Amino acid sequence: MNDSQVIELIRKGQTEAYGDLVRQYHKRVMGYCFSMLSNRTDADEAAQDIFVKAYQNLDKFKGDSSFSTWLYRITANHCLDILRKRNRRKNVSLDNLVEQEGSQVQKLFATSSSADRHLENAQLAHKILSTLSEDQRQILTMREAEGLEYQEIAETLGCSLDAVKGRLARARKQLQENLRHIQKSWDVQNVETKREKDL
Amino acid sequence: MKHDELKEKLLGLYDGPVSEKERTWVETHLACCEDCSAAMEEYKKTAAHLFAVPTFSEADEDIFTAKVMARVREKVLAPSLSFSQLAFRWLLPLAGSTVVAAWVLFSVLPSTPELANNINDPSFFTPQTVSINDNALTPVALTSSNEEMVVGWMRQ
Ligand SMILES: [Zn+2]
Repeated sequence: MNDSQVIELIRKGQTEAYGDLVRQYHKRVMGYCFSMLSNRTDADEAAQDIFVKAYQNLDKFKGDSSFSTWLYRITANHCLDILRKRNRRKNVSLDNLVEQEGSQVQKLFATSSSADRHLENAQLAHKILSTLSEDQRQILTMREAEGLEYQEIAETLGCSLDAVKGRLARARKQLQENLRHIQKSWDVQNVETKREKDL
Repeated sequence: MKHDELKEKLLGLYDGPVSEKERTWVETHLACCEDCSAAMEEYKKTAAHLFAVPTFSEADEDIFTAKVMARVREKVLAPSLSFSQLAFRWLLPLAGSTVVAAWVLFSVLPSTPELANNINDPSFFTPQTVSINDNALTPVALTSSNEEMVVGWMRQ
């Protein structure tokens, strides 16, 4: 049964059929929430809210796009809202990050991203990604974590393919620049500490 | 186009849908520009580290689906207030009280002469000056305090 047929059943009152859609898209929605929010509890809560919201708005789904794109749009907006509220409270500056986690940043890139290092790294990765704007983080998450095609990103964000290329390029460049800044500052700090020790 | 701009452009092209012309351009440039190909490799490594997604087991999926469906069933049993329900609960009483207030203002008040006259009188809303009785300001003779009364009573 495809998504539209399942939705038809739900509209006819077979609420339980919604479980099939939840099961089918759980990984994608949860994965996206985790990449954006970097915290399993927050991601779980957000993903639940997204599925409930999608269910409540199912009558607004007209089938102009695929169900997955529609659900993705809800997911993207929901996570963006959470991130904006969160960032209003606490903004991670590049310099703060260097001061607090410089050595960890070095380690993150020195090790392979094996599963056992994942949780520890996820916290740090989250902090590094927090130095980007919410929009930049959003588009990078769609492409790098979720592997969405450029066309899918364009449909989800409601923009042109060229706009996706431009935004993705800028976000990737910004991420590289931020990382370079963190690593450079950390090297300077290291040299200074070494010099103090030598004296 | 400056080289920095080219480098940025490459980041938005290398893994996306490109035209034949773009693809040739990317390949040719990467083959002859060490700076860009190094940046590209560095970016790919960075992305692999920063965007690793955790794996979810089937049990995770079951638990998650159960939680969502419990909330969905709750919504089905207790749907949120629809507009008509909202209208009956709040809008009708509000409209009713507005009508009554309007009726009092436009029908009852003008037909109640003393109230109507008072309202039409320009001095109704202006505060009247009240002359102060000077005598009221002179201090009143002090009576004996409680303490004195108790002492007097004990003497008695
Ligand atoms: Zn180049």
